[in-house]
Amino acid sequence: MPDATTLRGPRRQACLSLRAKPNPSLPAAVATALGVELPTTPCTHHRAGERGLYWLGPDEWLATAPAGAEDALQAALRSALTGHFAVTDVSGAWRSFNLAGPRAIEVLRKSSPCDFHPRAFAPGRCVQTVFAKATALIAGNADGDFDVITRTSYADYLRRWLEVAALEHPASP
Amino acid sequence: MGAGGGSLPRPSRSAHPTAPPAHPTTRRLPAGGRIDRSQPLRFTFNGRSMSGFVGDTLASALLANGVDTVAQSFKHGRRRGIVGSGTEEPNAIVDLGDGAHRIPNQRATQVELHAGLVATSGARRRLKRFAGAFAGVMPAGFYYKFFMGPPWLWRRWEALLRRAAGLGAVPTGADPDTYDKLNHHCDVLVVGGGPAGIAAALAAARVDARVALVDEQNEFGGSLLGAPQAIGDAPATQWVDAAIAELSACPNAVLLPRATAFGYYDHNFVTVLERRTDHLGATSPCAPRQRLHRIRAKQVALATGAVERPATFANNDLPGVMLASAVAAYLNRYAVAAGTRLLLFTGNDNAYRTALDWRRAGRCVVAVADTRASPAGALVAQAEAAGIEIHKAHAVIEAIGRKRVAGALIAPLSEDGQRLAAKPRRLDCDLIACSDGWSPAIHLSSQAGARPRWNEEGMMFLPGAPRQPTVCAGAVNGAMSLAACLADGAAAGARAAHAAGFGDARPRFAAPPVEEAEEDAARPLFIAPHVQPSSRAPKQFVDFQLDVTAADIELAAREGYRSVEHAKRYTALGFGTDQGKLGNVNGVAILARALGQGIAETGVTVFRPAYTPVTFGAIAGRDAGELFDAERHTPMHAWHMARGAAWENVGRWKRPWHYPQADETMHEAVVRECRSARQDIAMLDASTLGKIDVQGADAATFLDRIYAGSFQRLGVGRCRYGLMLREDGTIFDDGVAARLADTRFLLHTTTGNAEAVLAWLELWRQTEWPDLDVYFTSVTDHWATAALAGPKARDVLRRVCDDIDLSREAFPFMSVRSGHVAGRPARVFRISFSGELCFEVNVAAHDGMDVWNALMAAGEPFGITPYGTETMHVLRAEKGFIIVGQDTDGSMTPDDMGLGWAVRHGKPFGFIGDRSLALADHRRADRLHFVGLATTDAAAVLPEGAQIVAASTRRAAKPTTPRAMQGHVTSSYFSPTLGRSIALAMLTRGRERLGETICCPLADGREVSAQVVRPIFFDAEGRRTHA
Repeated sequence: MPDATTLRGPRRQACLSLRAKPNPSLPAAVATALGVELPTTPCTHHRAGERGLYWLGPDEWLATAPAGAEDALQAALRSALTGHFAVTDVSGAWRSFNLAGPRAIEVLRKSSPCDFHPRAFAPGRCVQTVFAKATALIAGNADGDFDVITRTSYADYLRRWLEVAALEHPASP
Repeated sequence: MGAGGGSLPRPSRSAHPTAPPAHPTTRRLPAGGRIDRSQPLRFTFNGRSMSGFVGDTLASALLANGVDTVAQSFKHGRRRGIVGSGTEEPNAIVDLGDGAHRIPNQRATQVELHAGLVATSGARRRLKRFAGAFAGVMPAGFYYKFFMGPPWLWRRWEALLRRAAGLGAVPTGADPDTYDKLNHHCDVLVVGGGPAGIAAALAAARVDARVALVDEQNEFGGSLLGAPQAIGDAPATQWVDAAIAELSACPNAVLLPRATAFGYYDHNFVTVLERRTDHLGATSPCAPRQRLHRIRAKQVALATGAVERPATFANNDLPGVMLASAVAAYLNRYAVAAGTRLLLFTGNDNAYRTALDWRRAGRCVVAVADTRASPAGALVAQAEAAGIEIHKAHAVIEAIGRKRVAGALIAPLSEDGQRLAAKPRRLDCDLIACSDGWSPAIHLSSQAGARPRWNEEGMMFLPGAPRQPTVCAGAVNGAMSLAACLADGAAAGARAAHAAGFGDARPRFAAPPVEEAEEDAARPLFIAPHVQPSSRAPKQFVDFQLDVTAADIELAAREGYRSVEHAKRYTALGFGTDQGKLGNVNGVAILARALGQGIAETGVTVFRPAYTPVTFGAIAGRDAGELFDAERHTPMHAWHMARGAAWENVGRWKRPWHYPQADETMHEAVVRECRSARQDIAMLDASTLGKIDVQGADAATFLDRIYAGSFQRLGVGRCRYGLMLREDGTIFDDGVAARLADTRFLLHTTTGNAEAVLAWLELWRQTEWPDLDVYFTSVTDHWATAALAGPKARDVLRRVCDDIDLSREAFPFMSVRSGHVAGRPARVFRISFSGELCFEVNVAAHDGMDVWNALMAAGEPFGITPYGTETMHVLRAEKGFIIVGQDTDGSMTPDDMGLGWAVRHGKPFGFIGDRSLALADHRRADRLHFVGLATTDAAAVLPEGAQIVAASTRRAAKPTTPRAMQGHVTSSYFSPTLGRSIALAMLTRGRERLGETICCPLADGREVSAQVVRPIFFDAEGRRTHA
């Protein structure tokens, strides 16, 4: 069915919480350590291959990479950063779903009050918001698919929720 | 054309292509309408099998089948027929389906007919029994008056009323259908898909705004569907089709038919109920029956139209009295003639269309009673030319008939319309079409905060000045002609789009020309005078659904109800599911007259959501059944499931409560789990505990200010119990904090308080102490935690951990070590909430299950038992460890709880709550103290929450009431270890009363006595913990 929505996940990745007081050398240091450019525009994310870096707040980011990379990346960050910062391994804390297909946006709209229309939520945007009765970090990717990153403890609930939300036959009855 | 009434001039507009037979025998016309005659449908109404067509509503099909009475009225049990053709219908309220599928209180005028539809007049049978019994004895303000009478009288009445009240019957089972919700954002939301709404949507969509157009009917077109009008050279419906096709092709336009905007809230948030499968009959499980659309719009364009307003006259509730617009809609849209001999009662030109359409359909127009002395509009001229008799300055004052209208009394009006100028006379007819004017559908505008304003010229309430980004267009704005609606709609759409950032406010859309008949001024009557006063005349109904009469409103005015809001509540005017869409304005006019004031002065009641009733299913959406709430699961959840755990909800977490084996009771399971922890080894899933990683050069300084205790000098690798206080010195949270490095700590919080504590830390860092370099990261979800508790904990852990020295000397109580457990990186805390030797093993969530299994396997030779939260509670209560939120209630200080040792005064900066601890009230001698209670009867377990009073003395065998409350029980269990009941309590001056016997009176009248003891029942020296 060409209209069908594909739901993948929950998937585990290496996740690092980065909190750092912005300083002029921060973007370069982060880019060197992670190989991803530091997003400084609110609610955006950058990707490089399988790595991602999400803006969560003026001094807070989430770095993702394939599972297993957490220790090496943490070490790289800790040696590259200067000043006041905190790097924490939160690989166990986050699980990631992926929604793809032309009607994936409708699944998001059933779940969250945010505006996901391309005019408001172009690829490269991300937002932390209410999702069903939990919370999630939702990111729009260049291929038009979406990542829904959620706390591990909510993954069972959200997997059931997303399966139900994606269930509806795309053609109206 | 033109059978039944002499020769008629051909009307200017194109009409039905084939002429009807001269003497119609059925109410269904042989041709015309928007029904699909190739698709007949069978349905049942009150058990009778009937037929209709695809495209019918239940109401049109009932009319076509000759059904006059569709319900009996709420209070008086009078026969009621269909009055309207849409949302305004007050009478034709039916229940659909049966059993679990039963849907009560549906308006037959809005129910699309489908094969096999089963409809029942909801209140019919029950009301028959009570009708008459109540009629004379339930005046306006019935409830008010009865509540002022003796209470016993009300109780008698209540029993009777409860049986009779209500309109429908509830479903007999759980709702088998599914519902969901969809969020929308748009630049312009257009409510109403009539000519004005369509024009507005087109104007906005053509400048590329994101547009949503919602309409409650099954097809767009609104009033155009029921009137044979032309736009340009073609029938109006062709223009509608073209416009909808254009909008459908817009990628940024959303069209929602069968969707009612029922709530308009702050920030231009509008809720819309879409009926997706109701018209199909059978539903499929994956297609939601109804969908609640939650629309946030930059601009809302209200094109909600207007509802025709009938004048009030005696017996106006007789079946066969209808709105003129409804008579026309049934005729033109559904090809149903609602009767044979029509009497039109109006005070405006517009309604003459109904008489002309009726005549054109070959039916007999008995006469027109026009309230005006000399109406001179084009339509009036057409009617006169057609030979229709017009009684000028006349009103219908009473409908005559038993089961249905058989005639009407009409009489000439005095100049002011308040009295009759001559005696009435009777006309024979079976259908009275009424139009006294129009009521714009201002409900949504009123919900959005705009106070309606009375328009003296149009004699109608119009939307007031908007308090949100709202524009109004078309009939809701008082634009009553088609040309005006199209122009107004286009302008409003363009204006709204411009305000949302699109286009230049000039519509890129010119309404095609519409031929309009020039209309003369209208003369609304609101209520027709009668030869008798209202109180003596046959009932003149204002609100059909709740049986409110003109006499009721006049009575309310006489009894002092001057405010329209009070009069509404006193009489129940507009209280029904129809929100008084037909009668409200007449009611206001009658009240105004009774009070001797104007309508503008009297005002109208505020409308509230919902515009029309909404199903609870739609409000719940998918948040039902197993998705009712967001459950949080630990990484070991599946293991607990497989082990048959009974669950306890802790916040949103599912925690194992206990693990019953075979047919064990909870008590037996807890006894076994406690024994295992105290004698051998037991394991608890403690993953839910809140965990916050704190990093930064000022971490220790920050924690010193947040915690009542001191953390500056805590050694790396050591842990300390900490209390967080609020500014007022009361306990906010507690937990163990560990120093992982010089500049890094890990904080434990209570399970339910994890988010609140993190927010608390951020609040103080960001608003009060931004100079401190410290960051917090929640790691609650990152770690899976297994607490190994029991004398054999060390032996078990040693089997799966070889890189941490677990000896007492190398790894003392209250310290933390890093290493590997079962080959996975682990952080092990030697902390204890059970009073036993305990290691809390923390691994990343994805390693949790494997490590848990490895620990279970390692513990097997030692008889390891998983234990749940109930055992955890018993073990900690035996040790007197508090649970914040259970033993404390937000008013307790550390001293109250005997935790003064965890407070360190005199720190360089102090700590939150420090100074408040010196408040005189916090130092009162008679404060509640945390104590233990040992019941005199060792087997008697006190209920938690039990109140404590002084023990009764022998002298006062019968204790006086009330007895002063001295405290209450906060935790209470049976302790398997001690073989007796134990309890923790807050007791006035408790610490000074050790050894005293107190008493707990229980709800069942028993009194349980207990001795006040120290709040620690087991291993007071802590030898086991430190083992």
